[in-house]
Amino acid sequence: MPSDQLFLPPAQQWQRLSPKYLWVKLIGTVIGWLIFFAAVLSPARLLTTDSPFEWVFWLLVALAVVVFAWRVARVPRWVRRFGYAERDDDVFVTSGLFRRQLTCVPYGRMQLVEVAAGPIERLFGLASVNMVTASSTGAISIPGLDRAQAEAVRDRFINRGEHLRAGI
Amino acid sequence: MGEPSAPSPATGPAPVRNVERPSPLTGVANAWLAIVAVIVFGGRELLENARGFADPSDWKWPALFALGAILLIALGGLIVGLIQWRTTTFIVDDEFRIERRFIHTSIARIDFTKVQSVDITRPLAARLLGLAEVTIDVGGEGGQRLRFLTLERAEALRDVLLARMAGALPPHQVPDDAHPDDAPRPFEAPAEVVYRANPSNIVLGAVLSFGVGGVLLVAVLLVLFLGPFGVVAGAAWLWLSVLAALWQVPKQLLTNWGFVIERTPNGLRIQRGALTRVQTTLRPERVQTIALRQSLFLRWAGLVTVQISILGNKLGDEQGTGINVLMPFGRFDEARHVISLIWPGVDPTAFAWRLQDPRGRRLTWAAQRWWALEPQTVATRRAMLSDEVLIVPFARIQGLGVSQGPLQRLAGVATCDVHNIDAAPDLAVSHLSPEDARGLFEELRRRSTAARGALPATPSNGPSITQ
Repeated sequence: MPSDQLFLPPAQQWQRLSPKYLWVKLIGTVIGWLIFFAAVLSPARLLTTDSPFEWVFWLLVALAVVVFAWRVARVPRWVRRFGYAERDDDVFVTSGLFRRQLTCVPYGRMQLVEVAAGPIERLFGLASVNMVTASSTGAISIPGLDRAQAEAVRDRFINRGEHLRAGI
Repeated sequence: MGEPSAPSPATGPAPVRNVERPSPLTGVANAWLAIVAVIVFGGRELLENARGFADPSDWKWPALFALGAILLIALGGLIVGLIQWRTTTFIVDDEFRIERRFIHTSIARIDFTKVQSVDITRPLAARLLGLAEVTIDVGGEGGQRLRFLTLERAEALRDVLLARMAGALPPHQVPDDAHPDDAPRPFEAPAEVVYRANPSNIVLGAVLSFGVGGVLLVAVLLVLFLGPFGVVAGAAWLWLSVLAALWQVPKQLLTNWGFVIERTPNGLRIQRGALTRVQTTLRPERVQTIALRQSLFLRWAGLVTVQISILGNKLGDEQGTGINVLMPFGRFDEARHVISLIWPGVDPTAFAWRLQDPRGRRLTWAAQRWWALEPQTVATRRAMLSDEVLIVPFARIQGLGVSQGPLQRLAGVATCDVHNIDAAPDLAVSHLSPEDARGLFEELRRRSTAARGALPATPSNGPSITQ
């Protein structure tokens, strides 16, 4: 079984994220890694200026450029890979490139659903739906939904959770 | 505990509401406990830093200082205890309310239906004074601790709370202290001993679980590095650290001494401890997972430890009062017995274990892994030197997953993940063939959905209201 089949959707196909989310994720990635590299490279620059080890700094810069390009290049694939499927009594989410995973959470185990939006998401009119269960490893989050869509998803989750409540 | 409880000195016969207080001896017990804590802590520090005190003449001032500090802390404990006694009140009738009015005023109302467990802890000092501490666990935030009550009052309170929690007592009925002259309390729980740990197994287990391995290792290292003569002559502080390590043995022994499980109408009551006596009442449906663990030495001795994880377990508690052990050390027959007390029909020694996929063996060259799908449970086992079994019933599964890391992708295997509540370890059936992993995932999804459907509707486990 090729690994694509391991993560087959439970229904016809996975529902994918909004194409706008690609931009959110790209901007987030760029900002995050730039801050990280600035934090790492500036002390390296200070330490190696006018020392025989200046090449170390340039090596780090080269490394940073490679890592940065790699992280940015995989963003579209990450977004394309993410999928979710709502079913009658549970919801499936699949994600990840390096470590691929599929998570299934029954509505009956849901403790809390929240709609959250970071500043970049708000800029694009998007929001995430986070579903909290008693297991933090089993919690799921669906990012990059249109605001109205996210609220609709949340309401559907809560509605179904009320009918299927199973305690802990 | 068969007699009706005598009203504690501070319990006034209030006409409308029976407002109670902790025992006035709280201050004394507190001071005593503070002294013990300081001595234990200081002793440990001393053992660990003993290198600096090679010359006994250096000890005079530190000793005086330590004595002063102990007295000061004891005085502090006494005062805090007195303040607690004067400022804490609680009411148990239609509601359960604890009020604390000192600098910070808090009124906690605890919903009877949300009480998860009521534990009674009796440190040695409190036992000698006839006192007990009551810990009320509500699953999430907002658990309460009442220290100290008289033992009779603590047990009566526990019985009332547990009966209310189980819904055995109509909420309008006023508990016993309102009429202390009545004959036996209506919700007095008759207890039947269903398991008593064998003392010789506890001793053997305490020695083997830590002592033998650690001490052998340290001794071998000492001889290797210092030579046989150096060990005797120059390394007093090293011996002190060996002592500190060996302290684990009596500690295990004292913690698990007199381990008893009784069956009461309110659940299983587990008691343990030689000095500090801890008692917890456990409803079987609160148990989320059961683990069987054997270290190498325990394996050789044929002993096994049975651990449980519980919703709202107080394992991280600074005092470690929560009991998460169902059997400290015992034989497999006993393990079968105690597990059947919680989940009848689940027998890990009779599971049909399946070996992981041979392709996954390359990823786990150190330990062999097995898994088993049983009528009520799913289980994994991993063994190399130690042996560890984790059992999760379908009804307790919080979520499921399939995952594949990069190495697993190369090896052509995948993992089926079973997500449990945070207090319980997650179960991962790792390195199956992708077909098996997805197949197991679908099978578990079917079975856990069916098991959830069969569950009685339980009230949600939110925190109780704390104002």
